[in-house]
Amino acid sequence: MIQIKDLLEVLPLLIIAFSAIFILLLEVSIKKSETVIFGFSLIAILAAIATSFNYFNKEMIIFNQFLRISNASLTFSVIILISMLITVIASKSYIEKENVNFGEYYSMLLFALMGMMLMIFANDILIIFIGLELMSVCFYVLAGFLRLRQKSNESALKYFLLGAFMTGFILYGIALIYGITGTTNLTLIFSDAKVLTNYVFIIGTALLIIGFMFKIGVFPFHMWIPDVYDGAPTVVSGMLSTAGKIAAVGTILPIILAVNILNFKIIFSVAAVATMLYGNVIALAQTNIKRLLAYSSIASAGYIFVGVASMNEFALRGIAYYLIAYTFMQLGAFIIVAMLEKKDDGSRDYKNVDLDFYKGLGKRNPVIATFMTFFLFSLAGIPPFAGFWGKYYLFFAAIKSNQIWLAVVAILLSLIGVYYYLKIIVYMWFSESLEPVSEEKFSFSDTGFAATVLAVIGTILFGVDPNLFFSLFKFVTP
Amino acid sequence: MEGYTFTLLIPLILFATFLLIGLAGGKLKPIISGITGVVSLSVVSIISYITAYDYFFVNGKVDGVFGKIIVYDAEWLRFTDSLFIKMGILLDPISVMMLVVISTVSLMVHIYSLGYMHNEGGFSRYYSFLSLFTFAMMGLVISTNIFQTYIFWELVGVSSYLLIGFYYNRPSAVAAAKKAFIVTRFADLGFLIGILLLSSLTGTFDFVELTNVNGSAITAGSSVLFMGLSSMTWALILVFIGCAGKSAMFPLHIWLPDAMEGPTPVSALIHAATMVVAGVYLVARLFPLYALSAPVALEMIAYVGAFTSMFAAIIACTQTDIKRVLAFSTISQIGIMMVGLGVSGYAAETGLGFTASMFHLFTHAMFKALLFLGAGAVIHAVHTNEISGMGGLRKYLPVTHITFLVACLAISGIPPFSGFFSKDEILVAVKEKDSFLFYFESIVSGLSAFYMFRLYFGIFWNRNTTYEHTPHEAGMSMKIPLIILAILAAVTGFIPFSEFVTSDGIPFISHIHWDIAIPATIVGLIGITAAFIFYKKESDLSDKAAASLGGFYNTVHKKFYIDEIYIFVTKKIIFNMVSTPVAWFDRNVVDGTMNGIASVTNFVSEKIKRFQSGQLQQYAFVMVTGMIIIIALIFYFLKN
Amino acid sequence: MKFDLETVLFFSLAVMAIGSAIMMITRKSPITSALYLILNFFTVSGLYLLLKAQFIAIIQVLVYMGAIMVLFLFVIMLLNLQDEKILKEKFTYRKITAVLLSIFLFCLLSFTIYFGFSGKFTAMSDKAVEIGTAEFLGSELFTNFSFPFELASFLLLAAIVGAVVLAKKKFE
Repeated sequence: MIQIKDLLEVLPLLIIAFSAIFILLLEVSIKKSETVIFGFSLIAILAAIATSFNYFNKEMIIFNQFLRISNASLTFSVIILISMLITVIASKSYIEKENVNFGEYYSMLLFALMGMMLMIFANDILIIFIGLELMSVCFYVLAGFLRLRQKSNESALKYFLLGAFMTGFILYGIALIYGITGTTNLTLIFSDAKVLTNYVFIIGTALLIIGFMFKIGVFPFHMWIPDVYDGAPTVVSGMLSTAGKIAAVGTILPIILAVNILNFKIIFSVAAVATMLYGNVIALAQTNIKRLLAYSSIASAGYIFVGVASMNEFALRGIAYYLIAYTFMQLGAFIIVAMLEKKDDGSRDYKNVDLDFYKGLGKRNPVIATFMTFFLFSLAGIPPFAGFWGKYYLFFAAIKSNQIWLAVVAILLSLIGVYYYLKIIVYMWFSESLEPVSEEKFSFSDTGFAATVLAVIGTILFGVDPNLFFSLFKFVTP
Repeated sequence: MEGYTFTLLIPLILFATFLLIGLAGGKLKPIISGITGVVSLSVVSIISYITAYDYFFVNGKVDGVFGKIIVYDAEWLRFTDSLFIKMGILLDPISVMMLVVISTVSLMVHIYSLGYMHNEGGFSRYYSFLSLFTFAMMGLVISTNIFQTYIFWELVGVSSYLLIGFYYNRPSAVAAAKKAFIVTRFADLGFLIGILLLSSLTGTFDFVELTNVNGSAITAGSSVLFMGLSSMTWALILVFIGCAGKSAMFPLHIWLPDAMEGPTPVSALIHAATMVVAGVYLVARLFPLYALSAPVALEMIAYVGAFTSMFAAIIACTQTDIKRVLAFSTISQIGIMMVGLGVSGYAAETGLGFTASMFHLFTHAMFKALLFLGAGAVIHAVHTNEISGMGGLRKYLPVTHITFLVACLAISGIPPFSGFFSKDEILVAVKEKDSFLFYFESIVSGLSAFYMFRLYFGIFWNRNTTYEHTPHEAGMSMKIPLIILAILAAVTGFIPFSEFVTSDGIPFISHIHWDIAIPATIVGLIGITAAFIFYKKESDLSDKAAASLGGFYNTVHKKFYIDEIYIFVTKKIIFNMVSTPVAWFDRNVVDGTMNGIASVTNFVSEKIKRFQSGQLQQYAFVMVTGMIIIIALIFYFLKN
Repeated sequence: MKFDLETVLFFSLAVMAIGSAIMMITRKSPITSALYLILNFFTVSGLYLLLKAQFIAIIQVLVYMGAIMVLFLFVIMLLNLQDEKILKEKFTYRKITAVLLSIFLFCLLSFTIYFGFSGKFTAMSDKAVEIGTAEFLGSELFTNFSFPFELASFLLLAAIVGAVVLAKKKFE
């Protein structure tokens, strides 16, 4: 039975759920409520992060076995909260710039956040599904939030159609699992060893995992990513590529680890290699920075799957580390793109997102260019930035699981990544600006700048002191 | 050992200088940044010298052995209970030696740059990058574990990238910087995999544990075979690939000649004395492992080194850009160091090759830095890199001339200059191991004398070129480093190296083997003579003939005749038949392959891009196909 | 297999369901298609009834056949599709592969279900009738499943807000 005290066991979730609804009330009851709502969302997320740390090392199953709080799930949820925090901060000036400064925007973000946390804490496939839908619905809306931009509409529609399509498969998978086990409760499902080898169960789980591979953007379910990230509002693209991915990874990891899928290691490995190959190679030919970052996020999904394919005690640490590093660097890069974007002038497409625009940025705007350089170096996996450690742990996990070939291929493919990240750096510092440069005046009062600074701090801090992460999230040395 | 805690100051001061100049750079007067850099480097040098003195003469030797002293080691990152990464400072003969080399050369370059760079923009930026580079290099040599080495290794790569691309408005400089970065990254990949494998085999990153001859690391991974070699051998070969990238071994040498696009003092620091020897240093650092558990890898190093040294020496003979000549000469000399390491055994007298290689690293740093700085002074005076635009400069640049001559004599191995001693030791070590390599390397050494003096005569003698502006000697800030380095290049050969730096830390006494030294010197002299004949005279000939017309006519005529034969043999046969094809091979095949890989990737990328059509139906189609394949695969694996 | 009324009903409903589904996707006129869809829903709800799931069967009739289908028909009529050619598509190679792939997928999945479930369920539970009632469902939703039930309300709220933002909000 559900007890009232259960509510206290998931304060972070409760805070987010409450604020998402409260924002809607604020919006109708106060005039000029946008700034208040912005502040309120920030406080809510900060409070959720703060309360999260109470629950570490207290593994428990609550809400009539629907939710399960563990260190791993708390870690993922905190990473998502951090990602959302940065997104919210950056959003303020972005949606003002785009003339869509509505309170609902924050409400959508918080609802999505709630969905993601539900997925991660879920101990029941039903909750996973509801969380997933809650997240996806908000994502569809956010992707199409710039209603006057054709690209944004296109992005939302594509995301919706393909997302709904994959949801169908997830549901089918869930139905198969339920059919064979007679329950949706994960604890019960995994406790029956006999069921784990059943065809129906394995195919059902495979369909479920495939659905999530779609959300993560693993080959061959990655096709939507460039189109959607390209068209969605830039800050939202950053959020989709970080928080959205983390939520999906955090949800399926326990399932993959629990199911006896070791026989299928090779499938994950091959998917990882194909994803890295596809993302890195196609990124080379991109001329639009949003698309380039989208492909780089596909490549990152590949790196994450190197960890998934390893499935040993190092993998979880590696994935978690990579994800937090990835959050800072990828989101940071997207936010810089968002800041430099041209103000909405009623045009259908985004302006100033071509790579050519970045030529000579180092001279025009050294601070931003320096930050961008940090993010790109980190994405390229160059020490001492956080991205290096993320990749390092993942590849180490691969070697420890006796898949040396996978580590070698992964490092080789990440080398291609170095090339195109370096291309942007070269553009920024070593090329002359193309004349005439249509430039947006940039001011330090832009909230995007604050968000970028946060991301830079994270990128450097976790790069210089990797132990911080493990002590913060109470990882036990394996 | 607490006595050395002050060495912590070395990286700290350098990093602080970098931050200070880097952050406040725009606000400071350029010259202030320069002075700050010089002062902080002076302090670092003094600390290094004190450390070296203390280590080699006071505290370092315990029971007759130079041991490894861990000054400071803080745990930084924990993988498992037994596997963790530390950050610290390790002092042993080679790291102390490197401290001295780096601080000396870097200090000279700092001072020199005050004069050389004063007309360039971005003075502060330049000095902050220099400090960053020196910091990274110092961090690399004092690493206590291979992982720390890797991190600083990358940092060295990044800072050298920044320095090579310093003239960022020159497209060629940018391209060179990019090339250097990517080629070395490519090699670092091998290094990283090597580290992963090594740590996976031995369960440690620590140098002290890895190189402990009685420890478990030496025997780890020797039983697991892969393609006929033990996995330890593979790991060490992979590490060597990283070294080959940084140290410009064939075929990863292609970035170094292009890197000459950077400012000349930078070339002196990075591409002569410090960064490029990092690979040699790392092999030396892991030497017990190479020597005891992977002799095959060591042999490979010897042959790669030998081939590279010959290859680069031949190309050096054909270059007309003086910095490129020096670049190829550097590649060749590093090849010789690698050979020294490759033929060395472990412990006592058999480890002569190790000692000799380190000795050569030391002397080479001095005279090659001197050559680069001298070349810089020449370029500064005549504003061109091409040898054809120079000549007769000895009258205008007396100081540069003398110091350059000293350096040339040193590299050619003429006694009593430093290069003679170190090269002699290497040749002795090589002879003991492999007489084929010995003759091979003797030819290389003759060739190096030849191309160096070709350069020397071409710049300072040869024809009397008329210059638009009369070339004049540079200011004191540029002369002083030249003089100091010239003195060092002349005398450092007398350091009894084997009493300080040996493979196992136990000093021994080595003697000059005159039976090898004399022929080697003669080979050097032959090289010099050949250069003398071709390049001192050439266009002088007609003048002299006119002056000494009459009784000397026959002689002159005869000489001319000999010249003709020489020119026919060398220019037509050797140059055209050997050197030019080798140079062509280098430029087109080796470079071409590397560029080819890049362009093929780009091409494929452009092709696949079309696959991403934007059509939803197609996306869904691909997704479903993927799903079906995965399910079919699952069935397949379930059946098995 | 017993040859009783239930079996006869099952097979006739199943055949009708498949037949109407095929008819629905092959008709040219959208209205006819929609009507076949209604038939399809109806047969499916009949199948639910056979499984003693009265509540679901009624909901199927109410929601799908009632509400949703009416909306469908409205939309079709409002769009006023005169030229049916625009709905006509060509048979391309991609479609052929798609069909083949679908058949392959179908085989894989039926294979799974056939072997996975074989021998697993022999008879229907005695409580089946009881479980299928609205009463039972309601009590489950408000006790054991109250948590997901509440969450579903969040989902609906978010969807409504999102739809309103995209469709109604004034853009200056």
